[in-house]
Amino acid sequence: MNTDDPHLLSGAYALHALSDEERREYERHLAACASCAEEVAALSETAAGLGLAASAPVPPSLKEDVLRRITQVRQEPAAVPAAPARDAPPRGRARRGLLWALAASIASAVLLGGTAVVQHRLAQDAEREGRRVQQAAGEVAAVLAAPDARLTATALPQGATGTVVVSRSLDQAVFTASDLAVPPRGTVYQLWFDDRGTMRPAGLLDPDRTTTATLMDGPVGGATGMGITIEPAGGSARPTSAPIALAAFPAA
Amino acid sequence: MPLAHGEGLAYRGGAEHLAEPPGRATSRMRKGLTRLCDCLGVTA
Repeated sequence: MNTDDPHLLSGAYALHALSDEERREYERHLAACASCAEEVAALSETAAGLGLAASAPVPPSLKEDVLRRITQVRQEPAAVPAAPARDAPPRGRARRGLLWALAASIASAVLLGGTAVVQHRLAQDAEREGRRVQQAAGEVAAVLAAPDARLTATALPQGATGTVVVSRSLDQAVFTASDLAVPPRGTVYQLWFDDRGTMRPAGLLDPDRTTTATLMDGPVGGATGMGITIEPAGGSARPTSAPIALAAFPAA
Repeated sequence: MPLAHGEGLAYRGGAEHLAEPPGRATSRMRKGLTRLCDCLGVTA
């Protein structure tokens, strides 16, 4: 071994910074030194983590995102006051401080990077949801504007009104309602296509909205009408209660 | 691991580059990684 104390080579070994000859020699030492083997296991795991952190793909918008957030976060005061010039610490002490600062900086970078990635994902989720809502609105608008759109109005409980718009050419239907009563806690309004007496699930209404325009799930197909029931949260495969409203689709 | 080798240098080359004894370079690597272990909660 080319160093005075082989026990101090654990870090260099974990970082693959030993020459081939030193590595073989150190591995022979490892086989006989349990404390070094234990230390190397922990250091190698951390070094591997650094490698993963360094190789993680960074979304293109991350930099812009982080820079934008930086302007919104107040800078914390420095944790270590500047040392007076004439009382500069001894060289070794300064190096130790530098080492700790470096380690802390790397750790902070890894943790802040993780936080930024999480925030970026949340932003992506919100953006995806926004796109989904926008797409749904577009689909509703397409049905309402279809040349062959046909409307049927129906009365709903507590004075609310509902309208179903069907476009046979688009094979889609939209249900709109206003002043809809909030469903009992733990339940939702569920829409159904009436396939000549057999009810087919056609989606749920948002229980928090009293006014809605909802694109019914699935094709109109041969449905002759639609219905609404109150179902347990999450909906049902078949109606579990009597319909609160039924509407026949107008003939094409 | 490029991060460890520092532009492809083993620790001796790194120490030479920094004009410090090789023993100090290995010590810095060990202490730095140990500190990171503590920060990240890694135990053997």
